[in-house]
Amino acid sequence: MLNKPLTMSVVGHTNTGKTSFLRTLLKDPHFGEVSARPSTTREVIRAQLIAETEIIAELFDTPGLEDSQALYLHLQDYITLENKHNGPAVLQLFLGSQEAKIDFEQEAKVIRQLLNSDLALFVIDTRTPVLEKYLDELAILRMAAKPIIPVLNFINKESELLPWQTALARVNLHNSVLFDTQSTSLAHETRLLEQCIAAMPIARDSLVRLLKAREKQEVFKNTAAIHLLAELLVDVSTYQVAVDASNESEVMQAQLKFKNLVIDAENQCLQGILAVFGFELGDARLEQLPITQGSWHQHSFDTKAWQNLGIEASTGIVAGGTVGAGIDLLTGGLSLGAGTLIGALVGGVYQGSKKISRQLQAKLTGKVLMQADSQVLEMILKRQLLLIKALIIRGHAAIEPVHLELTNAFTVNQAIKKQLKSISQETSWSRILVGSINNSERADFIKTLGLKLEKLLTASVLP
Amino acid sequence: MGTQQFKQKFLKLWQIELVRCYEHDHKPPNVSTIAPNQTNSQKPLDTQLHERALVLIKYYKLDTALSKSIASLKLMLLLVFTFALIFGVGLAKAVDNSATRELSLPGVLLALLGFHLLMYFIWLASFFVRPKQSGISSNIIKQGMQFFNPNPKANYVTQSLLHTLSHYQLGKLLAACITHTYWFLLLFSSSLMLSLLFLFQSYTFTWETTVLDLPVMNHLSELLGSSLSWLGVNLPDVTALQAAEPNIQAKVGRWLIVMLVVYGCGIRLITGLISASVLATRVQNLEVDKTQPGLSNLIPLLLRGAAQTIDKDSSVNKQTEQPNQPNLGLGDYWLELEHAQNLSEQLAEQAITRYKALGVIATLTDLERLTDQFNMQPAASILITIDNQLTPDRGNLRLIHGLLPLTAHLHCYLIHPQGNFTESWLAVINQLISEHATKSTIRLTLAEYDHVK
Repeated sequence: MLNKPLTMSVVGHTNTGKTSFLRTLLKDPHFGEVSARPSTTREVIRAQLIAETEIIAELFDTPGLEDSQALYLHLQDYITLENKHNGPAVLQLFLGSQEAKIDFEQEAKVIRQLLNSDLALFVIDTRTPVLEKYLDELAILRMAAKPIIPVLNFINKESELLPWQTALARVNLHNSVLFDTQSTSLAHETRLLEQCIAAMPIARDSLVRLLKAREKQEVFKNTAAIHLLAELLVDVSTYQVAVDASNESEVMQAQLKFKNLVIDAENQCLQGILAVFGFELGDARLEQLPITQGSWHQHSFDTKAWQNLGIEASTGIVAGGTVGAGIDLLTGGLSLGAGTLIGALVGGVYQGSKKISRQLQAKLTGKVLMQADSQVLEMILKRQLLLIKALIIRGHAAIEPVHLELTNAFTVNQAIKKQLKSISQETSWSRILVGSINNSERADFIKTLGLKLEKLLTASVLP
Repeated sequence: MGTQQFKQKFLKLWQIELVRCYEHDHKPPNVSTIAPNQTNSQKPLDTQLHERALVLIKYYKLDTALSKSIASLKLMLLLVFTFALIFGVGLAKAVDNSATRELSLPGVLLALLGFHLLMYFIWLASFFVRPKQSGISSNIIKQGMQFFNPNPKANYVTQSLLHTLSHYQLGKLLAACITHTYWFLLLFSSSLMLSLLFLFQSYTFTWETTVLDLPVMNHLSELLGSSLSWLGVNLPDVTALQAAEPNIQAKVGRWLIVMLVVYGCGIRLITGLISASVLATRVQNLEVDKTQPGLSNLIPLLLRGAAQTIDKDSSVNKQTEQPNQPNLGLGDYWLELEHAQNLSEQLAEQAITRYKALGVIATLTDLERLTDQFNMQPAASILITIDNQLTPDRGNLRLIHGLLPLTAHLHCYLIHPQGNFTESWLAVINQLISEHATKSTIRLTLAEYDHVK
């Protein structure tokens, strides 16, 4: 069993996505510097892979190899009869030379680090053809006599992997791992770590622990994001405001305030979801999302925004721009007949008639009740769920902006709609105006709703 | 788990919750306060969250409110337990309200243990019912804390305490510990007071009835007596009790005190200790619920390990040799950089018409071959087509650089209109132009702007 962290050097040609690869593995979009310019990484940077509290592996991001042809030729000068079968000795001789300090400073850093590591992860940009210089790189790296795991990066449907796999097989490297830092999944990481176990069986136990911790983290992210959404849905569907029905301007103002508070709550949830997936506000990768400074461009009361998500506005809501769109006005039981009225008085004491009793109370006090329309809830649900889905299937390292299509990709089933409707009169459950609520029934409801949302999401993420 | 450990663990949960509640209404000002301990990622997440909470409690100036609230809670508990002791004494004195010192045994038993047992069974029943709203005890805590510490920041402290108790399902157990301690103290002081009364005053116990006959009363007394027979303490029968013999009265008095100690203090003490140990075990196994809004967003930040630079860039200024580019040359040639490129038909035709193809330049050997070829007679111009889907590097730049002494004009052509590395190539070739030549001797063309001519 390995009693120290496994050391892995991430090596490869310049601009093959070594730092991006590390970002993905470390789940840290801020690690190192990533750009399309060559030689972005000029130093060796150490990072750690941690499972719970244990440092499982130390990863070393190295500068890109740039001048391998010249270096390969140069290294021939150090081969003597004594060391011709001792690659590490040849490399050590080179590291002691003046050339390693000046002409091949960058490559020397890679070699020095590789000699001090347990294994090398050789990152290959599969979008490029197999050039001789890459084979020279491999030849140099193989001189270090360390296990090498080729990581075929930037794979997509069009990637031609065969030339690379053939070239690698020719130098006895059959254990390549497919990886895409732009859009990764736990399965990619699992395959990579399995190859690491195959190359370093001594580190099996610790790498298995790392895998388990990774699985736990993935589950956590999804659960936490869903939990945020479930909390928001409960907060909005139970948010109710009563205003004086006789004062029209007061009603208008209250509607506006109602709207703004719901919009704020949704944006707060949005920021929470982004943060759960490791994004911060102002992140350049969020610039293509319909989001600015942590707020959705189109608010959830905008009937035009509903259309994209396949949400039909009810007949009462025709003017999308009006203040009242998306707000259900409960007119205080004005239409209630005498029978219902008596029923309400009798039944007001039990849970089932909460709605009528509240309306009755509003009628008696001359108030109008406001609550979010079911369309607003559906809008909130679908939009956030689409975002979570987009974030789940996306790698941490991707430098391209997050892509999100707000389309009618989710069908919110009746069970969820009914469930949300069933709590509309639990007005004490909404945290929109109160910071914290201690209500076990609410907590149980959020748990159940969360499970349903998770099911809906899983069904859409899985192929 | 010791009391101290329990307190510390509970306090940790409370402090984390306090910051979460406060940040719900007041956004944290910047990232450094969101995750001040990013360098400690090998510590457990709960520890990191607690360390963060400790920093932020001071930062948000919640520490005074928290310590005042803890003091208030302690004071409230002290008051409650003091009242228990006083009520206990009062209960014992209530038994002694008869001027004749004649005590009805069933009456005294009912007064001393009746209400306590009734409440005990209600508590037992309530244990199987989950309250929908926050319970009575949490309302008492809320009112009490607000009474002793009425300021807005203390509200967050109260809110977070109640949330911690309800979210981690500790409220019922804690309330059980407090109520059992309360009753234990009450019954303990009662039994103590009663012992003192019985020690220094003479009482006569009676067992009177209007409706029951003697066999029924005997049966009842046997039942009562058997409740302590396992301890070897027996209750004299009714006939003996009615005879009012002094030694029988003493026996009954002792029996009554033991009854109070066993079925009063004992029950409460044992149940209280069981509740306390269940509470301690639950708290010991508790982890912070990190899926809660306000905490889940911090986890990615806390999981990030600290990066450390191992081998720094020395920034050695590498002097490259200044190539002597000839002023004149003969012939126009075309080279493909690094690999045979798949040029568009139009481009290939233009190149072939205008230039003589020299193939691929990919290695230093290729450069040597070309150097030999043009050493004596440099070319008038060389067109080098560059695959800008590939990155520039020192190796391919070395090749381009090596061509400069071989031609009067070097024309670099980026073949892809939107290659992955177009910008990088523009940057490096423009640098080459500024360092080694004038714009007239090196030309850079992008596929979308121009032809190869």
